[in-house]
Amino acid sequence: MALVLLSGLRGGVGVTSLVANLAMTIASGGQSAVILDLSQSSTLGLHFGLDSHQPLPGFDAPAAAAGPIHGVRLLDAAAQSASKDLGEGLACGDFSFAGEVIHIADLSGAAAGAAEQLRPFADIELCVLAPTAECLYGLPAALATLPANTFFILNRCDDTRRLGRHAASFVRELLGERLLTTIHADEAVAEAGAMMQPLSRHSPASAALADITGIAKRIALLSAPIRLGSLPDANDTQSNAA
Amino acid sequence: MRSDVKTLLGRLGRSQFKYKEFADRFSELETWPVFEAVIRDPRVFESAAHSLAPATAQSSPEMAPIGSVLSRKYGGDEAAPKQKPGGDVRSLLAQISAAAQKGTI
Repeated sequence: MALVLLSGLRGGVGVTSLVANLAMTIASGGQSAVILDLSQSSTLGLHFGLDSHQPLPGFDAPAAAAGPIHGVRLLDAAAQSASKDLGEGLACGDFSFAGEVIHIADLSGAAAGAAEQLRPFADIELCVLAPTAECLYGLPAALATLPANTFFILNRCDDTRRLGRHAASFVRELLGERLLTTIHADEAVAEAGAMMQPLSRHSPASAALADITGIAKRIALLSAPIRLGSLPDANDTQSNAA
Repeated sequence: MRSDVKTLLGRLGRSQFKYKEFADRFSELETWPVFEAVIRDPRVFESAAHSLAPATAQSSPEMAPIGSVLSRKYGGDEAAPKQKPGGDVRSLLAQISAAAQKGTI
């Protein structure tokens, strides 16, 4: 079992597209994946080819009503989060994240308090940022408010851009081991969204997809009883498989 | 990505072309005031201090804060992370630059 929390250091850093493609990559590897959508104006359906007016099944919907799309079940938990039912239900055991399923919670655009409800039950918390001045400027506040064992993902890295290159170097030095990985800037990510297709289908050779696959392999290992602050290295996947 | 490029990469069994390395001297980081603003923010040092405490208690350097990471990487004083907020960015960058010249990084 695993619950992975993903949030953005600020809006527009690509959290939802990362959540979607992470979940689809995990599912393509043979593990069950569920996305908990906590956003009040979600764009998650875009990455799964759903119409914008098409609601996602509720968090309490039966499994049959929330059939997987591209191997991933999508559950809208925004209402339960807003009413605090999510945290209370987890605390009293009405529902849990037990089992072999990997749950990924998309906290981008979530109401205040959503993260606090899920945090005690999370195996890992990840914060996405981009190599921009705005993200750098917001980093001290994030370091002060996020749990000390939160890992960071630097998205949209572009070594051909001077500021992006310098910002990425700076973030690497600043965060050290807390920077889990970087993801290449890749136009194919935006194109896949516009095509309303998984990145793996639109552009299997995408550089960003290769990076996302590396993260997915590490997250997939969380189905083993590993707790916060000890995210396994991607190399462990290879050694375990060998 | 263009379809012909995608096809070529597929034939090569690669996910991307080899990226050109745009190497910069670390000292060039100084040109961006936002970096210095971040480094001077006391919350960054407080976060590093919080990370340091459990790491020390567990005798594990897994979550090394910026100070100790830079210290280990560039051969600085181990006491550096304990310095007060508002450390001298120029000296830090000078250390990095010197380490680069020595070829230790």
